[in-house]
Amino acid sequence: MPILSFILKRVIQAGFVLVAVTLFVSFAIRLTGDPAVMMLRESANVTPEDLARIREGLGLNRPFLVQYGDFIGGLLTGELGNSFFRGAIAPLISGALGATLLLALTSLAVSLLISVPLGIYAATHRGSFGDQLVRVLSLAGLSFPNFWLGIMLVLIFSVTLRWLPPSGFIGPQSLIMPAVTIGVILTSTNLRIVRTTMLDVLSSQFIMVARAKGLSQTAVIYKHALRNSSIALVTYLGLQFGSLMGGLVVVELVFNWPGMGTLAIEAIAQRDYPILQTVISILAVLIVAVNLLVDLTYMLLDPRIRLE
Amino acid sequence: MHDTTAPILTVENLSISFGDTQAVRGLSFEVPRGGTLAIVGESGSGKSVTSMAAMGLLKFTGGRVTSGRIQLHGKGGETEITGASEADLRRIRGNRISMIFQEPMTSLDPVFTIGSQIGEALKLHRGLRGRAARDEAARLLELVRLPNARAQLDRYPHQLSGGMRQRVMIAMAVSCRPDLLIADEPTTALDVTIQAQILQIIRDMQSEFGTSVIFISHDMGVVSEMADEIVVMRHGEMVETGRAEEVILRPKADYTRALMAAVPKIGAMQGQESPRKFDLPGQAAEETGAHPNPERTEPLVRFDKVTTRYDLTSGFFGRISHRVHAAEEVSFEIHPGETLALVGESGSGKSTVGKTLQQLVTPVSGRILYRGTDILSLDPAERQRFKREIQYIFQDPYGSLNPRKTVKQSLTEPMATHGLLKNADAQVADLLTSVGLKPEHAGRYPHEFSGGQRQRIAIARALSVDPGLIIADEAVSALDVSVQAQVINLMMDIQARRGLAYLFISHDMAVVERVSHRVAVMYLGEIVEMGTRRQVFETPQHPYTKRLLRAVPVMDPTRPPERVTLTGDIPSPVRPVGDPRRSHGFVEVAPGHLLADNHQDFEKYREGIAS
Repeated sequence: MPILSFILKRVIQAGFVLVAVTLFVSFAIRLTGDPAVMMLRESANVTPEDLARIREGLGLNRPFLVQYGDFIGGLLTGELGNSFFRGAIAPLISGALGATLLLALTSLAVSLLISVPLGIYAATHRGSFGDQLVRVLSLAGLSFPNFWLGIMLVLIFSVTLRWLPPSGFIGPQSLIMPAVTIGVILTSTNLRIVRTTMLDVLSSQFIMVARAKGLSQTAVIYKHALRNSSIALVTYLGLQFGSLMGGLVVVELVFNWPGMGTLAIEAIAQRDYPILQTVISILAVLIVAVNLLVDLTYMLLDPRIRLE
Repeated sequence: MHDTTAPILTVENLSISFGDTQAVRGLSFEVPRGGTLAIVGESGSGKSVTSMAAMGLLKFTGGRVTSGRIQLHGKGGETEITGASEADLRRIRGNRISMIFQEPMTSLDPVFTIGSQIGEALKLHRGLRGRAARDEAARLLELVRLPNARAQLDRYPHQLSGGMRQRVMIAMAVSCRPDLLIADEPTTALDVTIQAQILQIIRDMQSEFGTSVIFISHDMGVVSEMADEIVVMRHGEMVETGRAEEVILRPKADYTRALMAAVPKIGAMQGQESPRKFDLPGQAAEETGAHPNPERTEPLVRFDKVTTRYDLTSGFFGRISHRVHAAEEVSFEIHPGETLALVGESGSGKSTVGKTLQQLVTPVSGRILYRGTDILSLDPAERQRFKREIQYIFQDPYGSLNPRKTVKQSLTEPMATHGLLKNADAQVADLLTSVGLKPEHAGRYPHEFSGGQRQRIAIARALSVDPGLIIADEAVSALDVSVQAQVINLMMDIQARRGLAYLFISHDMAVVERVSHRVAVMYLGEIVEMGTRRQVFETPQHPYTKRLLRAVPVMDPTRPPERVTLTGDIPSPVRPVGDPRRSHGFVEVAPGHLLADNHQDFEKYREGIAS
């Protein structure tokens, strides 16, 4: 069964990636500072014994590999343990992960809803005024830094018009500005991908053959051309997911969105190793899983991969 | 069965433009009902554009009809194609006029099954769905004699060979019993034995459905087998038209005569001891004389039982499970000043032999001797020296020159690599002159040249390091016939001047007959017959050589096309590990004429491998 063997191979590869990522994160974070010192920064008369007691309490005096083993064991069993400063980690993560996924999927949906129809329009009306306009808009979208766009939206819709809440999560209306901010950035690149791959597919001979059969423009575009260009689009979306996660961290900060990015940045400020390790590891799992999903989608979309 | 009274399609005074460029000017012709009209011409003659106009597909290619009209007089009554609405055209396309395209490898949508792609046309024009559509699709595939027709319906295009895909295309095209079938170079991308099968299927479909055909081709041999009438086009204009045998046997226009002279005709060299250049108009008479055979004393190159295989991996651990037996115990000699032609169809291993000789791939076993030195036993630095001695000309003159380098840069690079650069300007000027170009071309970029000129540049590049041997891998296959004849003449001139040897790799038997001193026929990675040109062409011994020669279309309209046995595809050279093929020896049937000693087993052997 070539498909099973393919999946098994990918899962094993993913395992190696995750071990490498978690090892590196756990190791690197311990080079950035001592949480015991951070905790006692405000107190007077700190003795080295005080510091040692705190380290022992946090389990930081044990060898690195033992600490790492505990952490991995916790990840695998779901026992995420306690953070240094904020109590149990599991509820913190589950809340933040939900918020981040909500934001990521909404922005992805926003971007696909805009970029697929506009990209197809631009490709089928190549060189027209509409095509030019689409290309200019996508270039403009690419040129905004996302935090700047976020701040501008806050200034217009929260400060001046007072339509939307400027930050935090108080209801569905809170989702609009962060999702649009990330969606616009994604749209600019997705639009280009859709347009280019559509143009490429439309110039293939099998499209002319489909037309020569007497198929309508709709059937040619939405059946033959879209299915073929979706292969390239899915590849791109998989690659994009990693940078989407990176972009989310900044945008979450701008809107004070209670997601993984905000959680991670707070944890860095406090040297809260357990939270940070867990957040980064879960994001890594997510990215690896998405890419595995992309590979499986390929098989669904492209018989040349499925049947080889 | 000709009803000559009413044509099926009339084209009157048709002109087509792409932007400001006129592609077709004032073209008029009629397609006889039930007959075949061939449109012949070289690239840029406007023949394909005309067929797109007849399908009403021109606007999707960026062109438009600027004047004239195209009328279809089919079973659905009179229809004017030019000026019809898109909705009307959709009812005509695939239904009353259908089309077979040149590239079978890219004509089918890779993500849909064969069955669903044929079903589309059946649903659209005949209202068939589900089971009925599936049955009809299977029947059509049987009609084009696709083996195992019903099982093919669920397969995807990439699982089929080029010849099989072209049969699917034909099945799709005839699925609605069209009045007119347009075949645009339908066999150009196929091997010659497969070509013969496809041509026969087109003829069979024509008699089955009474379909009229427009057959577009650059190949006069194929046209001569297919056409009742011929239109010769050049630069968008009609040069000549008439009954096929008139145009072929007694061409009136100068251009048609020049075109015919440039067509390599198989059998034209019978009785000739040595290769001859093409007799082109405007060429001095003494230049077309025989090209004497070189003395065969000390071989320049000797291939001694060279075997090249490629590994294929599969499974979880990527184990080597199969091997492509690309070249198996290949032995031959090439002498200075000699042309050895390597002929065979796709997958026969002829290009692998070229690449092995050029040291682009390393053989599994065997020896390659250059002037007596075993190249493979040398250390890498010394081998580099031999790379200079053997140069390569590739098939695609558009892909083999770096578009960002000037001609001069392309020509001086190999000389600099091998430390031969002395006076760049003079050397480049010299090289360009020797291939019939001008020294002032040195500063230009590849896109400023035509295909033939680019191939001349590629030849100049090969000559720049003064090699002893040039491997010409399908070097003239992509060129128009008149350009092809010029490039071949040039190659022969250079050979005479420099005493150069060629390994001429080609699938085109007629060209090979023209240029070669000796010929080796390859089949499934092995040489099955080898001898002088006359031995192989005039007294072929091996069944495969005979089959190959029979399949070549002959430019003789008086000869009825021969019925070919539809034997299907060429078997695959891929074999499981641990199951090597039994190799064969040779018998010498005449001095220098070698024949595989298992030739009697060929048919059995072929079936055995195919199964």
